[in-house]
Amino acid sequence: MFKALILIDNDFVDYSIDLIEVASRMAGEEAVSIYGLGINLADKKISGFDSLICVDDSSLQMKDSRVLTDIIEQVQQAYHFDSIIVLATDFGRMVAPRVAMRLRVGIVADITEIEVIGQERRLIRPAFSGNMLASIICDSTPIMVSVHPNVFHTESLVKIPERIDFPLTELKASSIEVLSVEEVKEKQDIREAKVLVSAGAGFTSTMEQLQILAEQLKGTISVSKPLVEQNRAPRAIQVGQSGKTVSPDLYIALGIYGSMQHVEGLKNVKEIISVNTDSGAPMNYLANLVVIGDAVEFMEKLSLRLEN
Amino acid sequence: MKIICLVKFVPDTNQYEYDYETDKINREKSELILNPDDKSALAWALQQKKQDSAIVIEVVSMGPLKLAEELKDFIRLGVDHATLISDRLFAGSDSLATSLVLSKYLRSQEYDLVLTGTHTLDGGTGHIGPQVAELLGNNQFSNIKSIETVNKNFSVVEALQDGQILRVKLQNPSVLSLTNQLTMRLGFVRYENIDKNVDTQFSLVTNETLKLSTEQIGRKGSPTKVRKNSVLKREKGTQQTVKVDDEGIETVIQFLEEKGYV
Repeated sequence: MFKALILIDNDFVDYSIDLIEVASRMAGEEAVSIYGLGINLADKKISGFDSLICVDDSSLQMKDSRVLTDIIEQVQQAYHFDSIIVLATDFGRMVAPRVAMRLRVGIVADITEIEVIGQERRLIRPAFSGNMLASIICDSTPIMVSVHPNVFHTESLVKIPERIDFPLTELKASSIEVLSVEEVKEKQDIREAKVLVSAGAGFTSTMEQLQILAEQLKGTISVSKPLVEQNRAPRAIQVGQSGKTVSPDLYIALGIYGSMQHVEGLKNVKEIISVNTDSGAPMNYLANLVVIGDAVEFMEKLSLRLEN
Repeated sequence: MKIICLVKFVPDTNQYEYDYETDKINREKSELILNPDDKSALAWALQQKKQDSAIVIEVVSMGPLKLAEELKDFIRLGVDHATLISDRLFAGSDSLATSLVLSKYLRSQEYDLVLTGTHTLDGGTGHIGPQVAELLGNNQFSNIKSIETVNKNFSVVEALQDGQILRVKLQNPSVLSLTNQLTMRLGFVRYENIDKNVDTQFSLVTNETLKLSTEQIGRKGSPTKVRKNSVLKREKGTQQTVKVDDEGIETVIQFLEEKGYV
């Protein structure tokens, strides 16, 4: 029996439930038993898991990755999971590597696919730029992975998990204090957008200009990694491995080269229009409609045409 | 107060050489630059030192020997000490093994704060900050966009995580992972310091000093192994190619209308 544990992120419960698909695929041909770990979940509705391990203690500092690591370590010592799966939110990215180090096991970040060949579980992630995917194996148990929200989806969620109340043994007190929390409302989460107008390194104009075209198409703006690195756009609207995984109906790529790390951030996109001066750009290869030329000139012309 | 800046040099993804034949980046010909998030961290530390000369900064990096000169330039910029951790025995280390090497060195040092970056330009995993913190038994926080207060006892920082700005107080020593939203500039080495000999402030640390077992480092000490790299073949669908001219724009408009977007 392959036993997997999924850490449920209280702020992203649905995306956490999607990770059930990761556990099932990782099990391969083996029978699988999937556990969720919910810490102070309160009355959130959870389905699809076989079992739900519940830790309830209102005194826990939920933003202390060390405290979460202590809890997961205790759960792992009690259940000996074959795999631990963590959602790669910003906070999940603090927790997952810390847990791996505590357990002295390897961890593979941001996996996009799983291949099981016999006893070997190959975890696939985009390799450094280029048009490459790396297959990685992990010589340690539990196999730890982090997965971006929106990469995998789970269908049948009727199962009501058996609830297990997990008593914690003494935890070291937290020395982290959250002084305040301010919600930063993005106009729209790019993961939920139906139309994305997206700019890359070849786009030389401003985000404000891009916004005009996006509004004409009732869409949202997004960017590729170079614009975030150059501080021209916030990481919250970045598509790709180090940003977000998106599934719009229409994706307009303006001056986006299309490195593997970017393309792996596009899942179930219906139509792609790629505008690029370089006809050999990998992004063009994926597009339904390719426009060869300058991205800004294209944006201005299309915007003007839509206005009339 | 002592601040250690843990920095990484990465291939410059804006100016790399791409080999279309093999579909790979030519790493030999690609220049190594200081990772932008790490640069912000170092620039922040140097700015603090300008305001309080009692602050001591050490910059630590793990990588090839050719980085020695780059690190010495940080001394010429005002850093008190630079340490390069380099040994061919470390080659092939994954994040677990790398964190073991770094923390073995850091444990031998006194410090109040370790500053590093959150993301790496080369699409790395961002595991090192949290993993080093775990081994050192320190608090850690990522995505830090500003540092409000730092003293020997605690740090107060602002982090942008998952659509929230969190103001967090952490007991020191702690590992703070910054982002380049700090928009700090590193500046340039002053003309009179360009050729300054800084060898006494530089150290090279190899495994002779760290004495880690070969079972723990390099490929042997790394539980994650790359089985193969494969070029992804994608199905090319029906596709139309146009130019940025009136005809091209009309084709795009027609496409958008057909699919119901306008």
